Amino acid sequence: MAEVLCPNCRRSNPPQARLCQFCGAFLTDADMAKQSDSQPIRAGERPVVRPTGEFEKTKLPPAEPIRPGEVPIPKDTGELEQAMPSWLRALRESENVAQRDRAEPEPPALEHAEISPPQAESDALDWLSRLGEEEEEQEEIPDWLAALREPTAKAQETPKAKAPIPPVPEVAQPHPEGKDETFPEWFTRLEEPETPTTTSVPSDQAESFLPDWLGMFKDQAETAPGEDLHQAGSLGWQEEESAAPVEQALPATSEEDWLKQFEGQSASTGEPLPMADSESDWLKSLISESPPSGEPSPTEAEPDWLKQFGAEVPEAVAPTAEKPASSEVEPDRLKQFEAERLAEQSSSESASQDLPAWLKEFSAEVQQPTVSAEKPSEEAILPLEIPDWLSALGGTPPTSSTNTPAFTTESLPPEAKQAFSLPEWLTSFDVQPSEETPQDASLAQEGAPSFDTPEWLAEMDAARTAASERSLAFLEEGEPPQGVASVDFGLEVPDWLESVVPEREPETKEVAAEAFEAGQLEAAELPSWVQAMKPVEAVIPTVQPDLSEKEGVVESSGPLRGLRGVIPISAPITPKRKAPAYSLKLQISEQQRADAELLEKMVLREGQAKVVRAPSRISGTFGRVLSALLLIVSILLPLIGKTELAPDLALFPSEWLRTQQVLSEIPSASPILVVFDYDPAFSAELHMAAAPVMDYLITQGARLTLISTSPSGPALAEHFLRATQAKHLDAGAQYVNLGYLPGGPAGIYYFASAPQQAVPLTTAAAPAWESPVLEGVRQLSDFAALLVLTDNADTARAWIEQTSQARGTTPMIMVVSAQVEPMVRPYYDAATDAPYRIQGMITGLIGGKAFEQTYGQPGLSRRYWDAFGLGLLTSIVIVLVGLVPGLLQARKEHEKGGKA
Amino acid sequence: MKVKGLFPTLIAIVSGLIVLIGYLVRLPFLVEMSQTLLSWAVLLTAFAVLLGIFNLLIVHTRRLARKAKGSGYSLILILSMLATLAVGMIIPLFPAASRVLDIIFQTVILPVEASLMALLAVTLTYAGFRLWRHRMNFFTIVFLVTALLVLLGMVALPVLGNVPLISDTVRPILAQVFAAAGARGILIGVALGALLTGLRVLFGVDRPYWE
Repeated sequence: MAEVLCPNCRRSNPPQARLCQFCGAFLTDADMAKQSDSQPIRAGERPVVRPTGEFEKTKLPPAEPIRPGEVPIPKDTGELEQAMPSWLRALRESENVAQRDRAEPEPPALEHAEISPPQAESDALDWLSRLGEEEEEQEEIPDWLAALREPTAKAQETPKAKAPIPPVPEVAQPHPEGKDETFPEWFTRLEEPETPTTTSVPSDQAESFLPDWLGMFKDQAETAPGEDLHQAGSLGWQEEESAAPVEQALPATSEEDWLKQFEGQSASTGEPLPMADSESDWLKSLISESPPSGEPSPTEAEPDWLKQFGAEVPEAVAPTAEKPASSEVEPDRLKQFEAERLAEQSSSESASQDLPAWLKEFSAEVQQPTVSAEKPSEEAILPLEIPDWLSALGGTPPTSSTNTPAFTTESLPPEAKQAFSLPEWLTSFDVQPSEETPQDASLAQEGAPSFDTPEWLAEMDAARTAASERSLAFLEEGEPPQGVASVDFGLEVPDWLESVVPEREPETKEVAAEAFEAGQLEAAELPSWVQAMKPVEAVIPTVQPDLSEKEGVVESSGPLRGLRGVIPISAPITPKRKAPAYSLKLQISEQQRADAELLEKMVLREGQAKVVRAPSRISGTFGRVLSALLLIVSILLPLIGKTELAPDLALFPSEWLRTQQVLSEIPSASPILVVFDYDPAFSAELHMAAAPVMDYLITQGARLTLISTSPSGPALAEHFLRATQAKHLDAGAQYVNLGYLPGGPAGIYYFASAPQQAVPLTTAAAPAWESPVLEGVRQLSDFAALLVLTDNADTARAWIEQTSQARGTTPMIMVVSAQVEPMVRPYYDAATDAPYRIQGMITGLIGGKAFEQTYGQPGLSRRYWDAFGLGLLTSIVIVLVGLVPGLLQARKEHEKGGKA
Repeated sequence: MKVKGLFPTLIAIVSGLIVLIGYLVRLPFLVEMSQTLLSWAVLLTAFAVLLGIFNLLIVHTRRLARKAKGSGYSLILILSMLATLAVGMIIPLFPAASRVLDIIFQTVILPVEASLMALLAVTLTYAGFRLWRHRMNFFTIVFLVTALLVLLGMVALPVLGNVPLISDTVRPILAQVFAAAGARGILIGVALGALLTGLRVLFGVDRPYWE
């Protein structure tokens, strides 16, 4: 089956569809006609190749681009018509038809009959919904009325600027001849449905010219009753309201909030109200005022529009309706209302003096309530004089006369009917059918299906969706719907009617906007989820285009010539601004400039080759050789010459005296532990230091036990004895070499704790502790003295600390190298009762020389004494000689620095 | 800590605690246990010396096997080491062999190390000579002046003997006051470091045996 392709969204629609099911765009005959060549290519299909030679024939000569300030030269683009695509031609044709329709004085009646009802209804919904919104924001003081009054007053101040209000025609007795003269064209069109005439434009074509939102209404009217409610997708709120029971279908949008209480009262009966989905809530409230079904319907007072509306609604919604509502009761009630109204009007004539002309006429019509009672019964559902624009709602005839009209309250219980009290302003609205004519006429003009729709109506149509969203947001906020009902409208002051002039709608908006900006109106607080639903365009600050941009620009040239709004004008997302200009000159201070120059000099200096004078290899080698030769000569000469140039030591070391006392206290022939923990490199120094003491001890008959924590220690011990004590060994002196004691400090501690277990054998693999040298020695404290020869501070510290507990009162004498003296001296200078105190210390050659002099036995110290002194003196001289060139060079560098 | 390293750490901690407690509390069983553990430590240390000698032998044997550069020195080292080891091993059997060992010591080890020390004396002297020229600053002057005063205080000048005021005053002050003061600070730092190291080992924070 062939489908109609939407020119807007390019989606397929059923062939009988007049509106796109997806985007709501109307489908023209051209679209239907071109459906054959606009079938979408489906999966697996191949596109049809068509000749495009006509496009090549219509190439225009290249023209120079239009520069700013130049006026484009109009050119004949008729040849482009051939190359214009079919959809564009169809659009052009539809535009032409629309222009012709506007040029015609009286559009076909059929067109109005089909289009005007939903248009009028939607318009009524819009402006009434806005009134309801404003009323919700104002509780007691109808500021919105004041806001509406202000423009009205302004309008009254400049009445000439506005179009004169046409005289009010009598609805009950229409005057076809006179209406063309006194009413505008659109109003005359509203009257056409009652006098159907033949039309030259087919209905389908007329429908194709309908706006989208009007087309939806038409589709709704044309569809089956069961489908009406569900196919009105654009009026989802109405759909919900109609499909659901009254209790649940209470105001779905905030537009109807102000009349909630009316429905609420009706809903209290528990019975559904047969409301059409296209009717507004205020009409529902009117329906609730209608007499029960059991009573005769006041058809005499029913206006045409209500008759039609009532005839349409039951067909769609009220399947349970039994009988049209009677009209007998309602006229009486209205009469009562009107009587009260007349009484109030008579008492407030001054107030009525201020009313506008059209409202005065409205008051005049109030005094003729019986006019509408003469209407035929089948056309009267309510005693109200329904304006023609509302009567157009009943364009679709009722399918069944047994259906209950939509505006009946026959299902309501009597108490509910009594509780239902129509507001005064609404009653006044109800009883002034003829006075409403100017407004209704204007409303009908708004809803007229003509294509010369006024601008304010276009804006209302454009803002309809946004308004409904806003009202929905207000409804979600939980605004009390009683706000509208609580407004007390006096019968004498139907001010809102003054302001509800279609021509003043923009002014009302402006006033409301000004009031909002002035803080008189509270800003609506939308829930977060509603804010999240806001479109991005609502957040991005965009520059709102002016009114002309909204309407679109009529293309004046090219294939789109004569079309309006084909190319959408999008507002810039961000405001344009000129890029700030920055100076290219670097702005720096003097200090920064000086630093930059310095840095530049440094960088340039780094790039320059620096002349480095190679060090004189000859001078370095000569210096080292000369230094070595001087030292060697200064040392060898005394040794070779066996000179004694240097006098003996005159100043003995401070530790000499106490050490001498310790050695003198050692009993003769006592066991003495001698530790050889030094490297062979220091053997000469330690030999000179220890030889006098060892000689003294051996002379005293001491039994020496040798041990070492160094692997070379046992050999050094043997070497020491043979080098220094050869004469004593030859005389039969005995000693025990325990050899190497591994383990470092742990081995020393172990030896101090258990000497027999730590070193059971001698270097000759003999049982050490069975030797006569170690007779009576079982532990470390059994030795008479400990003599430690070391050149290492750590070794000296290990022997001092690890044996302090085990040796008890056994004195310890440290024979150390001169370099170790500072590290050992603290133990020597310690307190007398300190556990780590050493009792004696002999340091280097000087200590040995001092003991030699003490014991009067010249030895190695005396032999090396001259060499030692002369070598030190040579070293001092060499170092001091080096000071001279150093000072000269420093002076030279200082001079260079000063010159630089 | 992995389970694999838990057992060695426990051994180390327990051994250290036993030795430490045995050092502080002279209980017989603790002292005995402490001495046992110390004997193991001495034995292991001695074995470590042998292990080091064996490792040195292997390294130089490999170098000799692959004929690397300087393998001739490796050959001399291996022969010398084996010869000295052999002499030392036969000393218990042949006590006269100790004389051979003394000759080796006096003719090889002692002169070599003494020569290195003598070179150090010449090198330090020349370094002092050049130090004036290459780094003439405050600390250089202090260093060299201090060294010269100490040397001058130790020297026994020909005929003159000790240098007055320097030998009896300046040098003792420098060596026994300033140097001893610095040495005391070093010893305190060493003691604290040793204490901390011991505690870290006892607590299992440092595991030098695990490396």
